Amino acid sequence: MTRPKLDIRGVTKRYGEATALLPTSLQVAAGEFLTLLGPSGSGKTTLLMMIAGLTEASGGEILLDGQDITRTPAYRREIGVVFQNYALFPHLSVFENVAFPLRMRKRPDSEIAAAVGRTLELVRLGHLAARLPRELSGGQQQRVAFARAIVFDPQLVLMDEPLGALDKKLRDELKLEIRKLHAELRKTIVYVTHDQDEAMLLSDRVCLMNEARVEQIDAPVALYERPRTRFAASFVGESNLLDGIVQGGQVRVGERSLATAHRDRLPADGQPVTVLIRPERLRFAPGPDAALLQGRVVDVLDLGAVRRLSIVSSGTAGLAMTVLGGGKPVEAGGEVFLTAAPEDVVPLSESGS
Amino acid sequence: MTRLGQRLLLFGPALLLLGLFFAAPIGGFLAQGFLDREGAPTLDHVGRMWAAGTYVQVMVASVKISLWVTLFSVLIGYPVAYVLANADPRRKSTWALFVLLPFWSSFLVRTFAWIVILGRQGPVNAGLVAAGLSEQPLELLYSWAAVVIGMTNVLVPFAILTMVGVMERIDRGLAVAAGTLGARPVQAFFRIYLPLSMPGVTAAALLVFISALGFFMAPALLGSARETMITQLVIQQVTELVNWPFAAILCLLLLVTALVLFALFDRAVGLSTLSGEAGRGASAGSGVARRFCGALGDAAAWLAETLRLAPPAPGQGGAGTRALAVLAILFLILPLLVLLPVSFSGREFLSWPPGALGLRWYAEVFSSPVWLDAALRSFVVALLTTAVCLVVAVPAAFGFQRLTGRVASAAFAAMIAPLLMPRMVIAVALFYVYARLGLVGTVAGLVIGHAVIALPYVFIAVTAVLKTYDRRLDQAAASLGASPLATARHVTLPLIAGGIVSAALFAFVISLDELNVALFASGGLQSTLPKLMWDEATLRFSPLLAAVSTLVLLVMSALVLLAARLRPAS
Repeated sequence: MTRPKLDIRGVTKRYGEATALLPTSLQVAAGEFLTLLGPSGSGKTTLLMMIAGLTEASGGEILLDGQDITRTPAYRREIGVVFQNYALFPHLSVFENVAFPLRMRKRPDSEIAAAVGRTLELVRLGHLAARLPRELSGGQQQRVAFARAIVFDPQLVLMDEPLGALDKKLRDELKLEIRKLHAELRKTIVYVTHDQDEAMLLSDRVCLMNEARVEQIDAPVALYERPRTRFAASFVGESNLLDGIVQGGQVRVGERSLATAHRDRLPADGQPVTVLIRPERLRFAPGPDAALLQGRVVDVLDLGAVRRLSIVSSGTAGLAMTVLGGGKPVEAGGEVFLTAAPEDVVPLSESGS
Repeated sequence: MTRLGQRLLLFGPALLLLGLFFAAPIGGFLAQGFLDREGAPTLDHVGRMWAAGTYVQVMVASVKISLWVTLFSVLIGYPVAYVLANADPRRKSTWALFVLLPFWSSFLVRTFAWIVILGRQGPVNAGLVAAGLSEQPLELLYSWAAVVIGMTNVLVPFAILTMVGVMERIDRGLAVAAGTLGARPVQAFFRIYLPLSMPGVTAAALLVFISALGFFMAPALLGSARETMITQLVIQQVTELVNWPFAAILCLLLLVTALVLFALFDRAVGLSTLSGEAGRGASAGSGVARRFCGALGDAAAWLAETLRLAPPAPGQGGAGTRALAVLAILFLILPLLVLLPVSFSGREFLSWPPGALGLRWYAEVFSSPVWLDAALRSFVVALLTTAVCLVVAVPAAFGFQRLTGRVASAAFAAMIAPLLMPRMVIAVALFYVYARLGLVGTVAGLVIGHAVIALPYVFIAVTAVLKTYDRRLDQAAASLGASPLATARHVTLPLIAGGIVSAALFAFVISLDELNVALFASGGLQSTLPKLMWDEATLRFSPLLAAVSTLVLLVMSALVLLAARLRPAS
């Protein structure tokens, strides 16, 4: 990576005895879309607020374009923030809300009018410039908040669960819109959410957080396919977790041995290990001999496009399996033999680095 | 019965009380101003009032004094309200205590205290002489400044509490958001916070102005003839000259002046802000005012930048704001601080320093049947007033919850009408009908008068609680099989009990401190505590007053603390 746009070095936050964020380092490249994903209390919002300058860091440094901004007040940081509840100024029109950062920067009126007009067109709200925030729908308010955060061409845009207050349909629509805007503008964006679908869809990289620290940073697909920890595997997507023992480069689960393509991640021989197999990566084996796992179907959920099977299998806590819908129906109660490709058997460690 | 009818039924007791003892008496009394001895219509009284000139002059002077008092009250109150609205919960209760202590303590008590503070032997003069700023004690009392100081001191807490209501509803995130958009804290304040708090400021200004316009205590005790206010002339017409038509015309002059100012206010902001509703976006000041605020903020930001002042942490007031708030609070509690030592004075007259300390005046209070009698009567009247107010205001507040649109606006205006009527006018009008009904000098007469005056406060307090109450809880109760009555008893009332208690406290304290009604309607025999204190102040002015005031303050503080304890933690 050339010089990162945002460089977070050992930043930490303590409230008395409680630690909201353990020392954390993280780099974001120019134009990158990075998502901070995690459950509530994982420290993601704390980190975002420290980047914005709205919470003071207890330690560490934050560099923006190589400049140390750790002690710079929020109003001098050149960072746009989209707040969870939008924080639109209720007494100002849409136009004036978006013009606000430019007025603070004493830009001439003609320039302000042009920039605000351009940005409102970008979010397709040009016709509502004269309205007050309360006269807009939730989705429109969200777009105004976004326009206001980018109109002054900030170095970095932070978004704190910006879609959290909207219903699902609107959320899906706006997700695609944000993705499109990011592709067009190539702004560096740090985005906080607890919704993994948002994270998967929008991000160049996802920073998964848990218990006040970073659990794993990876591209969305890598995070899904090769999670490093038990927490990462279960927080993102559905997972089958199998406990076994390492034996000769394979993982022994009950009577059978599972081959894995990720041998470098296995602990030493004889050590216990947990492996992940995603439900859609399980396949039916042609017969008992080729099977890695064996079990009995106890429930079938036919969703049309896909079919989800619940399978009881000795030595496991039960397996979930997803297969494509259509074709011959699967009956509950039947004996099944399952297998998985070595690259789909992913060893996990108990906790993050 | 229609649903609207049912809802209006809840307003029944309120309409009865306000109709019989507010609207009708005032209408009847004011009509006197246009009738001659035989009861035929005439404009003679108006002509005489206009021709005399002095009355209009006094009215203009009253408006001027009231405007200054309003300006100072809002300016002094604003930083306190700001700190109070934005403090974290633990500090908030400390700040609130210092605002509520003077708020709950008697108007009379605090006005008296200024006579001591500003007197020739008072602490202010002592300080000036000691500091070498003045050769001899100055005549601070009986001046325009003394009247304005006394009135402002009494009215600042009203301004604070009105403004806090609006400020608490301002999203703190907005100033934070302004920060991320490049606004310095002081710019964020002037461009975002101040415009959004304007409805609170205007509501506070209105309330203070109307109260000030109806004042007679401060001008009578602290002012000279030049600071005579219109209400003093009304008292004179009623008690000394027994000239009802002329008293009516003077009250009318006062009302017309107030109404004109109301009309202006309502056009600008709307009366509903009195219930603490946060400003509707559009009403938060005009474009010109906003631009002015913005420019002010930019100038302040430039100054801060040039002086390299460190900005405060986001979302909190800076040290400067807190310092202003502390100064304002000191100003508010100064009268209380002075009264305490004076009440232990051994001297004949109220003076500073109090000299040898003793319990002489407390002993006199407790051995005087007149004082004990008045105290007992005041407590009984206050208790009954509280009961009447709750019975009338609680159903009305429930009914109001379910009204919308014009009906709601009309109902609200009717319920708070007594608040917008100078108390003096209410008291004189009641005296006018009481004379006919034989209610002069009765406890019932006092209770009715006090209830009319306290009703708007109780109504606003209960409405405010109901507004925060989640109606879905009632719906849940109903879905679980609770009848409306059972729902009210087991769900609604327990949850709003805290609000009801503070509303009741409002009624009790207002009644305990109410002088206007007793001034006329007590008929000299059935004296209340404030009436007796007033007589004492105008006739004798001994440290006895300070002793009584201290006792009243103690009782009120105890009540406030008790209420705070009774209130369930929310």
